[in-house]
Amino acid sequence: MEAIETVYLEADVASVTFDSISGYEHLQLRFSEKADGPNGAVYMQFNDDTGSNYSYKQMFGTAAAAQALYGSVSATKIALIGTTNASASTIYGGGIVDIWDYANSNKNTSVHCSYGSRMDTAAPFVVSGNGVWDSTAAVTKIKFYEFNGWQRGCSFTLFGIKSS
Amino acid sequence: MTITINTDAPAYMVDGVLTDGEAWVALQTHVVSGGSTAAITMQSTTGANDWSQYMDLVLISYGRNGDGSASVMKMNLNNDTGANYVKQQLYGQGSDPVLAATSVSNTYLDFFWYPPSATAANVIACSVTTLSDINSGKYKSAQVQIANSMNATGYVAIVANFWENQAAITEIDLVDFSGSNIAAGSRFDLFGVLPRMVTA
Repeated sequence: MEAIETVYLEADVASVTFDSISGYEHLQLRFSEKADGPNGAVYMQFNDDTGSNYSYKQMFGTAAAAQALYGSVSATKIALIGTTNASASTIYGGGIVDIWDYANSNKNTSVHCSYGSRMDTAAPFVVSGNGVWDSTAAVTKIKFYEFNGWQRGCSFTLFGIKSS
Repeated sequence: MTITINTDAPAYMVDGVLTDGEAWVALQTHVVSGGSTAAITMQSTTGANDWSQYMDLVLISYGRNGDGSASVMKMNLNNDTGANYVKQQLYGQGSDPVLAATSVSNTYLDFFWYPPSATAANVIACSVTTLSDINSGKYKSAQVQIANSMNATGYVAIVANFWENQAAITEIDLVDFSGSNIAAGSRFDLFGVLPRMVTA
């Protein structure tokens, strides 16, 4: 696995985009995140497609409740619920998104995500989710954004995995 | 115990020049051999095993309890055994509904559920633990995936952990929940994940 690019935020931003991603079989995004407001979610779009071409489903847990499911079809983005918005400046969440066979032009693109976040100081949150982009186009651009924007201090690193 | 620690010069530095190498670097392997052992300690040292150069650490655990009834191993960071760990887990057992549990004053990072010693022979559990942004001034977060089979009862779990400390991670200690030994044949592999700073 090769590191393609690390983006470290020295100021708040609305989104992070990766567009130099050719030459690999699969991609993996590893991130340390904190949202710039409450009730947010991690959003993903590919190739600037803002149409209703995405589906996603997640399983998540918080507190002692039984697991809950959250999802949508014909959405305008892949949404991964539950970003960190704890008031303490030291609290960030972390996660991993795998993007499989992203350059294949005969398949829709699927992703898997697992991450942990903290909605506030006492409410950790754990998520396992997946999403699909209903397009057979090769992925050439990835937009990774948050409902309220990302806070300073977040980091996002994209990795490429080559085939044998 | 067989321990392998990679203190070679970092592969991304060749004759003083940065190169694009493998982002995952094998740092340490601990294999319990002969008799069982009570604890695994991993520390940052020099060369490739200097953890200050990595963005994340990934620990792959594979093992079982050697002589006790506990089914959990504990991880402590930088020798901190205080109530400074927070966790949220989601887990399933057999055909039961998936359940959640939380703790905001844990004394350890919850990273591995494994078979007690009375479990049928050759039943081994595994987990993958990612420690994120280990050298930042943030509280540290960890994501864990666990697969555990105890005789005919299987477990699957995902756990989000937070260590409420801003220090860089320089030591990882792994022990059985009740102080039992870790079985011979168990192994723990630690990897470092490098960033690539091309954007300010």
